[in-house]
Amino acid sequence: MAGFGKNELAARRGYSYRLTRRQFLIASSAAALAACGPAAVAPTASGSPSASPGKTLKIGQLLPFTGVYAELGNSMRRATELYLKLNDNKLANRPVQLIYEDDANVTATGIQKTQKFIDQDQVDVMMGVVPTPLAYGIRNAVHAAKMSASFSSYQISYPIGDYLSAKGTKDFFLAYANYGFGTESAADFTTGIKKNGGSVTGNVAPPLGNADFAPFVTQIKNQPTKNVYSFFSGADAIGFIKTWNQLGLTAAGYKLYGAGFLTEQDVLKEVKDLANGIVTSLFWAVELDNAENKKFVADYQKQYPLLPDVFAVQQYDGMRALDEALKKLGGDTSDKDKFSKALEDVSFKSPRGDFAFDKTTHNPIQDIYIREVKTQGGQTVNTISDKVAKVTDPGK
Amino acid sequence: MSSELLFQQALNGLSFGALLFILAAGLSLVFGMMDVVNLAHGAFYMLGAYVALSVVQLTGSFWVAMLAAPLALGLLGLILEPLLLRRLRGRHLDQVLLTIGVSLIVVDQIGVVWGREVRSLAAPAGLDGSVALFGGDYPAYRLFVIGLGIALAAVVTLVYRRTALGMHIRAGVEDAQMLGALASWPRRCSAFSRAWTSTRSSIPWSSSWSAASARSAGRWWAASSSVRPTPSARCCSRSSLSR
Repeated sequence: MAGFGKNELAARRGYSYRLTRRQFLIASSAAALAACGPAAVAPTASGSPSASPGKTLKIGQLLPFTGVYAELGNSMRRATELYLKLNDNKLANRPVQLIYEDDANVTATGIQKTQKFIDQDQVDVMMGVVPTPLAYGIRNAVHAAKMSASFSSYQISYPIGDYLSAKGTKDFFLAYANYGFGTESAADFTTGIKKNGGSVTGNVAPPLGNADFAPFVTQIKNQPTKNVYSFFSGADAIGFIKTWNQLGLTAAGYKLYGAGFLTEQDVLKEVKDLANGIVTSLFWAVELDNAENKKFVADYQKQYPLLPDVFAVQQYDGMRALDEALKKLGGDTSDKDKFSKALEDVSFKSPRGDFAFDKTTHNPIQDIYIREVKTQGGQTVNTISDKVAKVTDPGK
Repeated sequence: MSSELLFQQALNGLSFGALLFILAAGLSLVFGMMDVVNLAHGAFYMLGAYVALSVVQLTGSFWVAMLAAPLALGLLGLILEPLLLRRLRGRHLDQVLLTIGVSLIVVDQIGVVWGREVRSLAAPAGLDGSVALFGGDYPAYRLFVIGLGIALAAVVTLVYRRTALGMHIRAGVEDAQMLGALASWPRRCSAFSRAWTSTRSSIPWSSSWSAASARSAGRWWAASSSVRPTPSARCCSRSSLSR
């Protein structure tokens, strides 16, 4: 207690490190959950503090609504609101108040908005956090014990590498967005194909949010390896697929593979049949044949004039996980350790199949589907051609 | 690097360069001629792309859009110049504030009207194919962009050097006050050139460069031009015009 603690200094300057210390992050790269305990609200007198049933649960949603991943944010927002609508706007016994902030895919903005959630809005739980660098960035403000309702790069890119090379397609050229998740995906894919004697012959790595893909696609066209594995998402995926077709790569015998985001609904509704024949891997697809998914897709389409995409599923599952954890605690979020334990133990049937968190990595354990884009009855969708069961992240 | 690859990459560079030229030409004119720091330029460019998108959806014609979008944006320029910018002549910092504000409003309104998802326009019939060049195929639309950039540069040079209007613009760049004393030109001239530059910034590029990349280009502009607002950039644009 001697001398100045960081908090005392902060208090003198009018900052509130004390608050942030109690915050608690259960979140990571794409679509995740975070729980924060506002010190100003939680520590009431003895007994059962903030568990009082019916007290409003404030959820801060940090999502990209502008920039290269804007459509992801919109999609996740739709899924959040759908889940609440189907559950009388309540999680466990608590009515929910949503507060949205736009991180614009800029780390500094995201950190600033996180601080706003904590200091000004005093949220109970924080969700969202799409871009990888931002997840790293806010770990200081929101205490670290992340819980991801989405995926790791390994879970998407390693299985398809393993799968394709085992089937005899061994040599690949890589094209990926040059930032954390893109680079990781490329590395995981490489590990996958090397396992069966495959190799990577070269790569191009345009920056995230690239304006013109022609120089990169030209480079691909001027090298001999016909199979190309890619990681692009959102606006980048649209630009890449369009340029791929403009420069006639499919006609020249090149074949495109990718992490599933390359051909999610946000992309397909713009590129349509240009995407036909692209093979990708992901833990979900609209076409997935199970009761939960059919209900989810139907509910979503009743509410919105479009098909759900994978980001909607993640967010929907994130809300469900939060809901289940809260139910177990009777709505009490005051004990952060208990809350995180409850989240860890959650399991339920999700549109993607059985959903549970891996206790060590806090990523979901999930099946990965190999999907091919086809246009059927006027709609361009991902059809499921195969499945790699129960993929867990090895927690590298 | 093979000569074929070199050639194709040179074309890629030229076509993207032509796009940036057309975007920048309007900005440098409004800067050099009117002495206005217009940080809303990118937002107008983006608005033009979205207007073009709507016109294409309505009429189905890329060429009608190519005509309508610049006209619509020119009209907006004609309204905004006397309404807002004329009051701030010579006050660069205030112009920066004002035009950043305008760009925020424009960008947000676009989000409200057209939504925030990525949109794109298909190239018009005839330009949506590829042309065989030196053994490799190259998209016709990108060649068209290069051609348009060159044509626009030629027309601007011609107007600027060889016409009475160009003479007045050059005179205005040299000494707007003296020109004002001699005639009532600058005011009309500025409104005209303001409209003209907004017009130019909105030629619908969009096809392969989607409305979304217009969006990012707009933001890129706001960012890069706000880093170095006045003196040096202004000198550059002046000298490049009055060379």
